[in-house]
Amino acid sequence: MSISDSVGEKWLGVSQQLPSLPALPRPVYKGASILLFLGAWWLFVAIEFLGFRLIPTPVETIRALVESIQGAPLTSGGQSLYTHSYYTIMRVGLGIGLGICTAIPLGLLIGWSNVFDRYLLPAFEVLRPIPPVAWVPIALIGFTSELMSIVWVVFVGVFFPILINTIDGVKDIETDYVRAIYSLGGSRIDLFRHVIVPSAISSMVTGTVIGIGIGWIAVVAAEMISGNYGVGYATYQAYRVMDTQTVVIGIIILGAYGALSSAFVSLLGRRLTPWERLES
Amino acid sequence: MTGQQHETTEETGSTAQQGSVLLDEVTKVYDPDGEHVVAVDDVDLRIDAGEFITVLGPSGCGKSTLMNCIAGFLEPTSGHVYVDGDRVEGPSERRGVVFQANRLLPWKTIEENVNLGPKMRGELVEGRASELLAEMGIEGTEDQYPTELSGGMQQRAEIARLLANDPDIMLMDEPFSALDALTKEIMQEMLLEIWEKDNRTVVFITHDVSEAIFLADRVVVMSAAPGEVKADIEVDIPRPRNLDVTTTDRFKELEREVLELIHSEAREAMGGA
Repeated sequence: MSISDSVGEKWLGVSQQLPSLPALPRPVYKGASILLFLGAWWLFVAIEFLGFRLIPTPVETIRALVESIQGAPLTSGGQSLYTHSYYTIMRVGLGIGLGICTAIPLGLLIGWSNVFDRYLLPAFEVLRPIPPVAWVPIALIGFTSELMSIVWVVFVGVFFPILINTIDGVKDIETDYVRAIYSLGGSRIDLFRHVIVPSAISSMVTGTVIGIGIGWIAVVAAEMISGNYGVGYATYQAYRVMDTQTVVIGIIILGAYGALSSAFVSLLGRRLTPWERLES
Repeated sequence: MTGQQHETTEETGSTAQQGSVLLDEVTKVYDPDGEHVVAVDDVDLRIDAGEFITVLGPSGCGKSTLMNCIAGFLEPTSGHVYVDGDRVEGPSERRGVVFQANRLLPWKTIEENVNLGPKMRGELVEGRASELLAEMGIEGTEDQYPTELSGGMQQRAEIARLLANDPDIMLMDEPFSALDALTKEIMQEMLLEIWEKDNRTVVFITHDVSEAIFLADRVVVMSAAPGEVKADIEVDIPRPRNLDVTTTDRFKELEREVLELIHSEAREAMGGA
């Protein structure tokens, strides 16, 4: 028995003697925590803390949100939530798709082959620290179309986390797996197929989840700077005319999209790695 | 039994059975940061086809390095390894390896793992995996992932993976060292059963004296720093063996002999330092 085990057991013995609150089901805590947040929000508006008197209360927001979902224009005389969402999702989707389709193969190649490691990685290392949003002006000039420039900015945000994580995943491979493949008569291609790709999947998924988070940041910032349509654009335009209700709706919608997309990728990742759930 | 084989291979001089190994002045030096570490020092060793040898020694004596040289994972700094007269220049499916930490691929099911060698070589036989798993006493595990099995069952599956490839030589690097005593004994008997059936050459690395004697035709005792062959002891206990032989006088005598060797070696090493 290790030291930490015995300490853990002693603590368990002590804690069992302490009076404790009855444990409630997990959803109860979740609900309480969210209510606490909504209460704080309401309170700040009610006491008109700093500029909060201009911000809608949770109840007003929910009412407006329902109207938007029913198809009401997001800003008076403007487009509906659905039109704006279409633009944003298309931009972020294209950027993420391009990012995944380029970063994963490149990451596998760079991790696998010294040639790619030497010739490609240094250039990427130079470009990597540039914040994606800093690309907006040059992307607008370089790509001329608004769609392409925003897609580029998203792509830059998505690309590097996936690339770096994929490379790490490939380089982390156990020597013994490599030896096992060769001593079973496998080739370098077999090694790639049976060891490198499957063992790097979870790193790829991690990179993709991080990348998508950055992709959403990038699309919102890019739309605020240069968009016509898009949820980020609508949110910023609403701010400029002090339509705070729409601003808050924009925030909620963007948060929901971000959460949904990373939940989707995590789910996909679990589907792709059925063996990892089994480790206990 | 094994004596007969020695004679046949020696008489015909060659290919009656594949799987003879010759180490010719094999030295392996690691030189990580300018530090000159001699892991294996000038080892000459001849292993006949079909022979079961164990390499016994303390940790760090270079026995795994020696095995990795035979497997072709490492290239000797000087000297050569020959298998059936041909120089070893890299890993080959003729030399199967069972690793110390279980090295089934965790993302493949047991069946996919067992089929891996034949599949990569384009010689997949449908149903062969199930046969081998049944032979190893773990039928019905085909669709499970390695982590769902106990350590002993994983080791059985790994041996099945190796057998599926039908190698001439089985290289085993302390395969049972992580198992509990009871499982270990069962695995040792099972390994002997397999070996007695098709007499592949086995090179089995261990630091467990009674395991080394129980399994082997010959125990090669290594000493540490630098890794050298200290003794090469013939085990004249008749086969087939089961664990009962471990209580015989001859077994105990051999055990004492080997332990004495190792202890005097250890005393020397401590006194010298």
